[in-house]
Amino acid sequence: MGGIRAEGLTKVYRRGGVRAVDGIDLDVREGQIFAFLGENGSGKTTTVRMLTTLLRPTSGRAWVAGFDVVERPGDVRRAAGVALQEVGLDDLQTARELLELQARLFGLSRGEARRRAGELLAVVGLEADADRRLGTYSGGMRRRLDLAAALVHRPRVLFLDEPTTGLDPGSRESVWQYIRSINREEGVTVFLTTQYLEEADRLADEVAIIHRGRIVAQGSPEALKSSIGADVIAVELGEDPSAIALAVEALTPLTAAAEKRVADGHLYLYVREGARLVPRVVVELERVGVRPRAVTVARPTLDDVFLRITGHHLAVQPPSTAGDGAAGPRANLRAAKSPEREGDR
Amino acid sequence: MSSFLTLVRKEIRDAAQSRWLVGFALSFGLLVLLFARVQSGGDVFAEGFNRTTAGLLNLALLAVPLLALLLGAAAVATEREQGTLATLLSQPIGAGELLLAKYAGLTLALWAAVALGFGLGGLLLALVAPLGALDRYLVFVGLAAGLASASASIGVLLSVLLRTRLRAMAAAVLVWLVLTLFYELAAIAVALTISASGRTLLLASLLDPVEAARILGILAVEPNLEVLGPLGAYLATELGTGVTAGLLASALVAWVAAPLVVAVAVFRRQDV
Repeated sequence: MGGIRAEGLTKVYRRGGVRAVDGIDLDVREGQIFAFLGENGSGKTTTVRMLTTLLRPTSGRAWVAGFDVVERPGDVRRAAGVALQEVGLDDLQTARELLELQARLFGLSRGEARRRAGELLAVVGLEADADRRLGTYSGGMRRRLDLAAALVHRPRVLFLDEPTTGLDPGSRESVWQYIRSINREEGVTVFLTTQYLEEADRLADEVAIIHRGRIVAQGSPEALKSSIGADVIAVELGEDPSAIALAVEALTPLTAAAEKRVADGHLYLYVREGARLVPRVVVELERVGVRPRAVTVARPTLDDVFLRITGHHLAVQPPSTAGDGAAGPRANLRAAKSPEREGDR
Repeated sequence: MSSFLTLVRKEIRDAAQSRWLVGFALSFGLLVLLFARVQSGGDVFAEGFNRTTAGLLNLALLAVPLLALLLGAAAVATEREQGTLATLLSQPIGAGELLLAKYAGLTLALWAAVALGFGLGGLLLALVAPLGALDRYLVFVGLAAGLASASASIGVLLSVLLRTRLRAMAAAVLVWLVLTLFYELAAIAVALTISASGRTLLLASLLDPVEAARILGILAVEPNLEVLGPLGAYLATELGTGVTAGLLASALVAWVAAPLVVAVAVFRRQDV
C-alpha cells in the first residue's frame, strides 16, 4: 500500500505542445528507495509533480500508496510527503512556525503540532535556529527544513525532487544519511529525482533512467551496471577525429564483438576481462601511431549505462567535484566507488 | 474546516508582519483627522462627522480599491513565484479551499486596516467634535469595508488569471483606473451619445463596484441629487433611495462573489 505505480503516464504542456513525460510505467515497491535519474529537462520534475497531484496528467494513470492521483488527490497528499526542487519557504516565517503550520494543515492539534515540530527540528539539527526567520537561512538549512516539513505527518511515501542540488558536500552527506535513516527506521518509501549519478548509486535500491520523457533503463544499480556485461576500457584520445578513427579501426579486430562508444574525446570499449586486454590495446594503438593520453580499465558505472543508452555522459557533477573539470564523470564515479563509500549503501 | 481556519490565521498574521496593515491603518487615521481639520475651515473640528465623512468618501473611493486590488493581485501570484503555492497545494487542502482562505484572510486584514484607521480616527474626532452625524460615519466605514471586499475579490481573480505578480499588479492598476476614473466618464459619454435608457443607466451603475459604493455613500451621507451624479440622480428619482440602496448593496455583494467564483473555477483547473 505504500508503493507507487504508473501506467502510461504522460504530460504534454499546452504551451508549446512539449511532451515532457511520454508514457512512463513505474512500479516502486513499498519501503524502497527509488531514484529517478536524468538530465535537466528530461521529465523528472514533471513526473514528481504529477505523482504529487500538482500537475494533472494528460493521459495515463498513477497511484501513490494505492490512491489514484487524479481521482483521490486528497488521500494522495495525506499519504505522501513532498520536498520540491525549488524550496518554497516563506522568508518571514520561522522554522518552528512553518512546521507547526504544516502539522496543523494535516490535522494535528495545536499541542501535537508543537511536539512534532520540536521532534523534527531536532532530527534535522535546526533546534538552535528554530525561531529565526527563514530569510536568514542558508541553502542547506532550507533544504533540511524542507525535508522536515515533508515528514511532519509521518508519510508513507516521500517524494524528494533533487534533494541535494546546490548543497555543499557536508550538507549533501547529512541529507543522504537522513534519507537512509527514515527509509530504514520508519519504512518510508522514497522516490527521489536526481541528476547526480553518485546519489543514485549510493542511495537507491532501484534506479530508473529517464531520457527525453521516457524511461530508457530500470533496475538496481548493480543490475544496470551488470547489464553492460563487461569491463569498460576508456582510451583518452583528445578531440582529434582522425586519431579517433584510426584507433577505432586498429582496435576493431581486437575487440570485434565488443561495443564501442566515442564521447568527450574518449573511446570506450565494453569488453570481458578488460585488464588482460589493456596491454594489447596499447600495442595496437602504438602500431598505427596513435598515442593515447591515458588508458584506464574499470567496472561499469551508472554513467556507462547512461552513456550506452543515450550516447552521451550525464555530465552533471555534485558540488564536491564541480570544479574538477579535468576529472570528468568517470573520475567522479571511480571516487564514488571506493570501498569505504560502497559500504554506505 | 480546521485547515481553512489555519490558513486564514496565517494570512492575517502575514499581513500584520508585512506592516502594510499598520501602515494603511495609520494613514487612514491621519486622513480622518486631516479632513476634519480642513473641512472645519480653521475652526478646530467644529463640523465634526458630517463634513468629514463627505470629504473622506471621495478619498476612500480612490484609496481603498487601489489598496485592495493590489493586495488581491499579489495574493496568489506571489505565492506562485516564491514556490510556496506548490508547497501549500501538496498539503491535504483543496485548491478552492486554499483560494477562499487566502481571500478571507486578506479581506479580514483589509477590514482591520479600515476599522483601525477610520475607527481610531473617528474615535479621536468623537472626543473633540460634535457627535451629530456619527451614524453616517459608521455607514461610511462599513461601505469602505464592503468596497475593499469587492476590490480584493477582483484582485484575487487577476492574480489567478495572470500568474505573475508583475502582470497581476499592472492589471490591478489598470482596473483601478477604469473603475475609479474612466468608467463614469465613459458612462456619461455613452448616455449622451446614444440617449441611453434608464435601464442602461441602472445597469451601468451596477457594473462598477466603485460607482455603486459612491452612490451608496452619498445616499447615506448627503442624499443630494446634485452630488449623486447622473447615474445616482437617475436611480434616486426613478426608484427611490431605499430601492436604489438595496440594488447597489446587492451589486457590491455580487462583485464580491462573482470574481471569486470564477477565480476558484479557474484555479482548480490550473497546473501548479
